[in-house]
Amino acid sequence: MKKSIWCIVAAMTASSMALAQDRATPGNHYLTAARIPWAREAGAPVELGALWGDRASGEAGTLLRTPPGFRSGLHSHTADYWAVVVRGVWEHWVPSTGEGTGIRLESGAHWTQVKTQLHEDACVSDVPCVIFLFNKTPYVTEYPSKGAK
Amino acid sequence: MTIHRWRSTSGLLTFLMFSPPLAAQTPAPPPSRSLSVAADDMNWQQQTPDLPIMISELWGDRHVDGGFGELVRLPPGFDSGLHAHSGDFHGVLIEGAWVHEGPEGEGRDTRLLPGSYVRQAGGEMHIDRCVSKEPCVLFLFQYTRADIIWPNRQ
Repeated sequence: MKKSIWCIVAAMTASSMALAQDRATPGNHYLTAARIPWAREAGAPVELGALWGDRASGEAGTLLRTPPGFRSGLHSHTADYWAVVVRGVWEHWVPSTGEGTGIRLESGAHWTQVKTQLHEDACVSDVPCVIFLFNKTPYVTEYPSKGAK
Repeated sequence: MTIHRWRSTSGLLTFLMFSPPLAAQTPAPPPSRSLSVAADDMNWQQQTPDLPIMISELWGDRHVDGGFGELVRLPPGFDSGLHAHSGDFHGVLIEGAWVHEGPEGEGRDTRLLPGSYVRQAGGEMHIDRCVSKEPCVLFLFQYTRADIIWPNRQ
């Protein structure tokens, strides 16, 4: 009898702990624009500012800052992503389908891009572009001739 | 014809009668794989009739758990009052100047400009203000369905 009661108590405790872990959140966090941890991306004239998560390993929110006139060249990613323009004027297009061609994406504009589909991006404003990117699964950039990055 | 054979033939006839023509079985072309929406073409809708908040849903379904992304537009001078949401959210300011204040006044004096980020824990009270002359536009990603919890209704 005693053993059964202990088993029930142990099971309830484990269950409560699991529930508490499910509900645990990382808490509140503020990051002002002036304190974005910009980091240069090797091999490209762009900077990345991680807001949350690590995009190479899973869900993440990341800012991308590029100089005016930036052209990405043809590339793709290993994850779907969603994007919103914060600053500047951006263009995002898929040469193989024509999607996005000629659409100027200004502050508040939105686009999505599925994984592995080759596309291009450009900052066409006179000011630097800042883009917010969100991905759910590990995100790596790949260039047709350069391999993964 | 035995009963077994008749059933087989009958089954084949039924299959042929109700099968779509071969041409119709050709897989439809895949839907658009990439979506670009210019800022002026975003679809804005009032969040609720009693709040001056406009939302533009980007992905997911804000009425069910599972995660959704949306843009939220607050008019200049907007003050939400103390409130909370059930789930954590990630917020990134796109336009305007935003103040996000915690229940103890934390963040009250921090003017958040475009690119700023706030992670707000679910269930914790806070206040949002748009302190710029132009509307504030926020990107929000929330893991659970959208809701608003007011202090006097808890």
